[in-house]
Amino acid sequence: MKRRRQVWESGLKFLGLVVITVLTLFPLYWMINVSLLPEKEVIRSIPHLFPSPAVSTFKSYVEILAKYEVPRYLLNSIVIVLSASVITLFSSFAVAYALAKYRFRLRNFTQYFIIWLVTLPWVVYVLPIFIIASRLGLLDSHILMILLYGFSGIPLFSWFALPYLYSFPNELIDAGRLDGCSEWGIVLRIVIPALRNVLIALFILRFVWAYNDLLYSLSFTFHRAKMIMPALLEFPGYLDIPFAKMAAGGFLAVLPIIIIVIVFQKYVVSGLVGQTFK
Amino acid sequence: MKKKPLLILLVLPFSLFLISHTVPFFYGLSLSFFSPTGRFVGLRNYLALFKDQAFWNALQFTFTYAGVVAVVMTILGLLLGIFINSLERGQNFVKSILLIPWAISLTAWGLLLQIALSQQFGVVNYFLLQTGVIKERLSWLGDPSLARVSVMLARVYKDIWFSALLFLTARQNIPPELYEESTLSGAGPWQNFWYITVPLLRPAILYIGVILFIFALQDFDLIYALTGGGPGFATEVVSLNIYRHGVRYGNYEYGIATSVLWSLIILGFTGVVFSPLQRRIVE
Repeated sequence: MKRRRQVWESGLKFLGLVVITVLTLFPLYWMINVSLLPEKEVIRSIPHLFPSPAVSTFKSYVEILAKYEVPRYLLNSIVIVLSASVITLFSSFAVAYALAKYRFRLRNFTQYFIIWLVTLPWVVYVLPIFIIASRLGLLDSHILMILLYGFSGIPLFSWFALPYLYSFPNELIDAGRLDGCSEWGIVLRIVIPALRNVLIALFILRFVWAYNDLLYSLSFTFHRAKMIMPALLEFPGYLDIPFAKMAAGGFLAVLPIIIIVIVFQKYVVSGLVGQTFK
Repeated sequence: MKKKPLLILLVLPFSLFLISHTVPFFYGLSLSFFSPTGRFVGLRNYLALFKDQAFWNALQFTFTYAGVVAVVMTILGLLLGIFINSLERGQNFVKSILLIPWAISLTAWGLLLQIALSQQFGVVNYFLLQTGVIKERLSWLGDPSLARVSVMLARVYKDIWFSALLFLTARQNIPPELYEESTLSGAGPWQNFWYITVPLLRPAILYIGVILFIFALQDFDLIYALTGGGPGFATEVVSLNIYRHGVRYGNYEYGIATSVLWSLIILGFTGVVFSPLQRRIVE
């Protein structure tokens, strides 16, 4: 009796495993599948469930690479987001360190203020920034996007970094002081090396989020500094919806992030999850 | 000697945010009392906003959307997380694929779902017809009420795995001895679930639920890419409404007035619901 129940149980677990696997991987699979079909073969009521060699083609990729400057948009996104993530990381790390390790007036107030800033939607800044940037002639420039993505993440990432710095042992810092380290020496030689993994995790997280963001990139870049996410939205025309090209562009756009997430998976999980339950 | 690092560590980086975001916000606040031609109109933009049915509809849909998304992702995520925790084999494999949908940007996800939910050619309608769940092809994105369901489903489907990962980690932080003891004293799996797992995970459930809700209130990318707020304005959320008035119609003052009201609503909401949780996070 007991054994039969165990068989049932492991059977159900296996089934659940299969369902989860299929559901998580199917969207990416479908994107690749559609991107490899000619447009004609996508528009049919019985869809091709896999890109059979008889019909599949790389034509969509060739076309979007030739016609839409996808490589340039990708490069823009990567350059902007990479520089911005460095800015976010060090600024928010500094803010969190100061909040966790120094006593000063307005300390509690600053923490509440930061959390309130985190809850405020990005969209409320878009229009004023748009007006100011256009007066300054900065719209559609790389430097504007680097600064915006660099600075916009500071409240959220200070908040993320805070628990790690609170739990950082004060004894290590005091030992550094006793050894004659300057306040800066402590940060550079003791805290940063000890929290290296946390910094990597937060950096990756910031990179992924800024790269995937649509709101700022859509509102402030149009041609010169155009980023990949708003560029994706240009494929659907007014009359035709080129499904295969949309899928191909989407796949090229998500590929860098998929690779990062697979390679640095350990860091992503710890960066996101660690702080929640500290 | 201690003053100097504080100034550079805290004040300098934090003021970068204030100058680039908070200062423009207050500049916007002052603009919201003017007409597009630069004439001072007092509260007229705000009065117009109060009569704007499209704004109230967007506000209502934003809270419905965020509420449904947060509740479903929390409950299903919790169950999924506990299920994955119970797997003896394949657990590491599952953990490694849970982040793949999370890695796909909401913009690309929106385009992908446009393809998959297409009424004539979409794979979703095809599967549902084949399995006999539906009798005729549904217009997932064309019918207003169905489109509302579609954007919520699309959002949940993408990040439910991520929520499961959070709960999985929370579950694995519970000391296994608790379960061993209670099983020894004769408790079954359901009793363990209700009397150990749920009470111990309550802080995590609350925390994750509130955070998911706060972030869902800000959603823009997916809805913009999937329906653009349509059909009509059926799936328009507040952020899309602001974007439409400002960037698309060029009516910046009105859009900014909406932004100001929206941030006041969020501020009030944060004060009432979020602050008990806030206090715990700060302390």
